[in-house]
Amino acid sequence: MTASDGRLVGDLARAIDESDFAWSLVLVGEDQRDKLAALTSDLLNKPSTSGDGKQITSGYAYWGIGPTIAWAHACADPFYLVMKQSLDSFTRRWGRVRGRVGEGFHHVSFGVGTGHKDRLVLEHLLERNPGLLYVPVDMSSEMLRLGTQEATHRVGLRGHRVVPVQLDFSIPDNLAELRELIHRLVGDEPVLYSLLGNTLANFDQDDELLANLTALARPQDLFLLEVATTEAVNDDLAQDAVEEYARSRAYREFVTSALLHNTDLTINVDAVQFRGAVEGDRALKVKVVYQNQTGGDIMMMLPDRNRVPFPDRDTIRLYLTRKYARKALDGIVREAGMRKVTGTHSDFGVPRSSQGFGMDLLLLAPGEPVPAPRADDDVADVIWGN
Amino acid sequence: MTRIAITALTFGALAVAMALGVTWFVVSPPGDRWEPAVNSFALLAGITGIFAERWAAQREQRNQAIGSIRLEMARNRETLDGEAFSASASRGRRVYPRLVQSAVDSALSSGALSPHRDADLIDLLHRWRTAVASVNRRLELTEMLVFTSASEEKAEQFHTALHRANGFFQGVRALLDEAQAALGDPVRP
Ligand SMILES: C[S@@+](CC[C@H](N)C(=O)[O-])C[C@H]1O[C@@H](n2cnc3c(N)ncnc32)[C@H](O)[C@@H]1O
Repeated sequence: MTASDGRLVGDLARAIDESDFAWSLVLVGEDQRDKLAALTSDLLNKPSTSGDGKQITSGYAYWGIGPTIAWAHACADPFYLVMKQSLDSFTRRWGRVRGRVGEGFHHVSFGVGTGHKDRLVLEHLLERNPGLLYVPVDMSSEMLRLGTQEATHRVGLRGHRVVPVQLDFSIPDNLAELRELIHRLVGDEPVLYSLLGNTLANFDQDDELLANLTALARPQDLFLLEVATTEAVNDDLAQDAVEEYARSRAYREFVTSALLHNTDLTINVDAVQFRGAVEGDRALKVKVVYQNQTGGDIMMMLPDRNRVPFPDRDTIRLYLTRKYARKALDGIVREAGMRKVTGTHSDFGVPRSSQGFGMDLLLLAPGEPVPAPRADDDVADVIWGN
Repeated sequence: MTRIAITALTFGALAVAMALGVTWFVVSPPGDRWEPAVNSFALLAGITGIFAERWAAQREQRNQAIGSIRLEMARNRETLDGEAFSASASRGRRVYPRLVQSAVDSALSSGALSPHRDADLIDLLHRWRTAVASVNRRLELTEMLVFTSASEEKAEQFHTALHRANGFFQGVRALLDEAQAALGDPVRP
């Protein structure tokens, strides 16, 4: 890089910092046409009445301005318990684990969402590292813009220290590039990665995703993971989980917004169905599907203007989510090659929620479990074992 | 030493008096036998009286001891079945109630139980005593570790360890069942 290039970057940074206009510099990591093609191809899958054919995979559910606004609405809906409680209680839960994050950390956030949580994380990290770099990563540029603004609003982070990256983080090749980028930006300084708001649960291959994401962490880095949890797994509880989601109209509008914006279907929010199941002993699983209940076949126009049939009773899976069994968490973390540094759990203390449903916030570090935290379990066992 | 000497002296004197009484009875002419007979029977009543009195006192002492052990066991049962030790109890930090053993202690130390007749019970009570001391000590350690730890998770780990099947605590409950059964109490109220 020549001196004048350096000056250009410096000028750009200054222009952003000193302007009153809300400039944001976004690194776009992928060709958005490819994304559209992928979404289209997911909507061309074979008919299925069980939600296993056509689908809108995670990321696409939030892609575009419509879904972004719908998501922000849903998060503010008191009936959408998981998100509402997750946001409300985050301050407290983060307060319990943040003591274990040392000095000098940068922050990389996978899936910014509305940015409320990133803001709390940033406030804490900034106190210990004024030169902090904030890298929110999201597939949706609109979500990036919304979330980043909320996250950095009045926290005293200068504009050029924010590097939003538009990228689908479920693709391993993308992560390899992202890793390069981040390491170039921060050098050997430690990074706190985060995947919050039960985003992990939205992916079919959630274990694989977690392993890929945590693989970015070097020994000096930490990973903050937030997931919805349940004390037990059984069919009754799966039904309770379904009801928890089904209650919120704003949530139904959010899950259908991707269809509304990418197809020409006339959306009937009552055709949104929630199907609960038990996923082994690791989680309760909820599939949100949109079923053609019109009694006849429909032709649906896809983003590429192709018209494809959406037969009677056929479904489009709009969203996938889970509540992880708390007992299974340790195994999930271990399989991702991480160890738990500390964690905190909060129950949903509301009468409308099922007993034992809650949120867990885990602070993870790379590598095998070191003896220290294990020894804690052992102490309890040594004392009460026999 | 003095106790043995006094006992020997007392019983020796009684035995000699008894022997003399019997001899007196044998050698005295038939008409004069009333006096040595009365004398001998009075001595015999005196000797057996001492033993009867001792035996009754011991029995009463044993009954009292067993009664208070029973009460104590029932109290311990209440503690173990109580909120603090139930699996559904809140998982946070807490001070646990302790098991008590003063009745067992005093029964064992006062000798209210007979080493021959109550051998099994004594053995069981000794085991129970050790278990109670151990539980209380472990509870103390647990509280100390839980209260000095910054993470709430620690309390949960202990909660889990405490309620583990086949853990130490289950052993204590089983021992209490056994003790209550041995004392002739209904095991569960
Ligand atoms: C459930 S929201 C969580 C938002 C926020 N972290 C919170 O806790 O409130 C999921 C976020 O991840 C983003 N996202 C989901 N799948 C993604 C993918 N495959 N690649 C990039 N971003 C994705 C969505 O756009 C959305 O902002």
